[in-house]
Amino acid sequence: MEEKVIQIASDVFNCQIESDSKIGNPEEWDSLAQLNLFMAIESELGIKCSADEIIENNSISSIVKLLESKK
Amino acid sequence: MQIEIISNINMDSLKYYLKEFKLKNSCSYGNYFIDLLDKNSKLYSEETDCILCFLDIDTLNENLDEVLASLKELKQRGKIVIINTLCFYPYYLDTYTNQSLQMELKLNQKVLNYSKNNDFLVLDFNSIIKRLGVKNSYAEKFWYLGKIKFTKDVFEELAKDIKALLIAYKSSCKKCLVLDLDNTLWGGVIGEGEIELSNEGKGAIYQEFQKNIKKLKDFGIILAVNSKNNYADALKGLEHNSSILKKDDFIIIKANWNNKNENLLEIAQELNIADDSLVFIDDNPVERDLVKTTTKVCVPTFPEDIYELNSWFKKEVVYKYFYKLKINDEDKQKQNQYKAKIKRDEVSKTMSYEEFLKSLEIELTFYIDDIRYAQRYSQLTQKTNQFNLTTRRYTQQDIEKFIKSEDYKVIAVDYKDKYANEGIIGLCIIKVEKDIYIDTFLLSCRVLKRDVEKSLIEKIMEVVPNKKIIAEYIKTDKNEIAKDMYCNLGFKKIDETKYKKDI
Repeated sequence: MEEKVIQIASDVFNCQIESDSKIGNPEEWDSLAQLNLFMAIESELGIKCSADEIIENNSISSIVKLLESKK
Repeated sequence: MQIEIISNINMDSLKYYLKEFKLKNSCSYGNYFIDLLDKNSKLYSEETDCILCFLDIDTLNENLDEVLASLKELKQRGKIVIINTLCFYPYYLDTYTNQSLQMELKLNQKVLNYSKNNDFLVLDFNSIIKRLGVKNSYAEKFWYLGKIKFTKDVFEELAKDIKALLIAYKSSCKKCLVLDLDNTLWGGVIGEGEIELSNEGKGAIYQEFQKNIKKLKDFGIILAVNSKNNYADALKGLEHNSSILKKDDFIIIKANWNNKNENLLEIAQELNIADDSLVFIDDNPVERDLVKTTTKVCVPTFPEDIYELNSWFKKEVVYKYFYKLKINDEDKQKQNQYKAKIKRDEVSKTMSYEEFLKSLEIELTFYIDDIRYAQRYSQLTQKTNQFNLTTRRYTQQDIEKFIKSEDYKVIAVDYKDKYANEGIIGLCIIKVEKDIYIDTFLLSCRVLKRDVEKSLIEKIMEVVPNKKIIAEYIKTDKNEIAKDMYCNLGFKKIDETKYKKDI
């Protein structure tokens, strides 16, 4: 799952994302990118997330945890 | 190519899908109209090659005529202008009144006419919604989270269409369409007897194909034939009762047994045009390959299923090679008369910037050291990246400390205009000693260029009168937009980062 999320995030942000990346690091990951990341995740993995989850989970590790819990 | 996106909603996501272009969104969606009017905005800057104006009709407050007139101004300054067709979110009650459908048609008529007269490129957003369906197009949740109205699918389709538009725009229009005959202009082989060409059944495919080709000819494209036939047989085909294209429609007919690549080079030579101005259509892959590998003639791949011939022709041939069709002189004259009439009918007055600001009926409310909003203030310092002069981030506790401190004043501003109440969107924190020192000065991008910053500075001078003001601008990757604020407000530059305003 982590691999998939990193792949999607790297694609969206057009830069290399690591497992410890989070909002603000890298720079490209800002609040708009955050929303677009979740748009991509929802559409590519077919998992729906609530608005609160989208706002709260803004690091690779927390997103992976969130998605794992929804499987 | 540098593209500026302007929109009345958040279309910034497009930048994630159009990575091959330099996509900028210097104008935030709350401000796009002001930026359109403001000749000093990034839109008018020399670096900008293309303006992509996306209008969301559901939330459009401005007068469409005024938006179009501003785009015309940009077009006249040499920018490529792209505008979308408008599409209402379906409102089901309309089944009975069809009001929004009528409105949509009317507005689109206007957009299309205007685009035609002013050479805008039209991004057919309606067809994207048709392709994907309403169900797959709108992202309700993301709309409320960040004014992102559409799904990833829509952004992908938009990006695809924008790319196609720009590629077609940049490539030059081809001059001559060269056609094979058997199994291309008609079904079957004319030298062997009956051919399929009629107004029904399979023959209708070819007849419609001929009609589509004839349309190109009417627009001034030269037609030629390049086919392996006896010349007499070729003519027999063109004289067929159901044939739309006649012998005289073709300037050159090469019906012989020579190699097709040689025929094509001869055609180019006889017409005195380069071979890369020719487009050659042939159903035979071997012939296509020969031409492709030995000449610069454009050779689109013929559709495998003949039933797709006409849609293929429009998409892969007309759109790709003849997109920039220029109408002939006679048509042009007609166009000019038409244009003059449209011009009279048009409300082409562009409002001045000042008039526009006045028309907004802006009301500002200031809060001074108001602890009730400490949380909102902290949030503003955390979230504001663009119009933030110093980008200092503060927690709620920090803010409360400033508010309680004798040495600091925290001034916030609440914005309201005739369209919306934006709430508290501006904040400044000043330290008052011998001089006033501006520690933090920020505005939400939604209210940029509405002179709010000016009022906020004036408020400082009113709250703490008769003192010199010292301010600074700390550059980050995101706050370029605020770079000149202090200069614009009459501050003097002291050094690279500091500014002052005397009493």
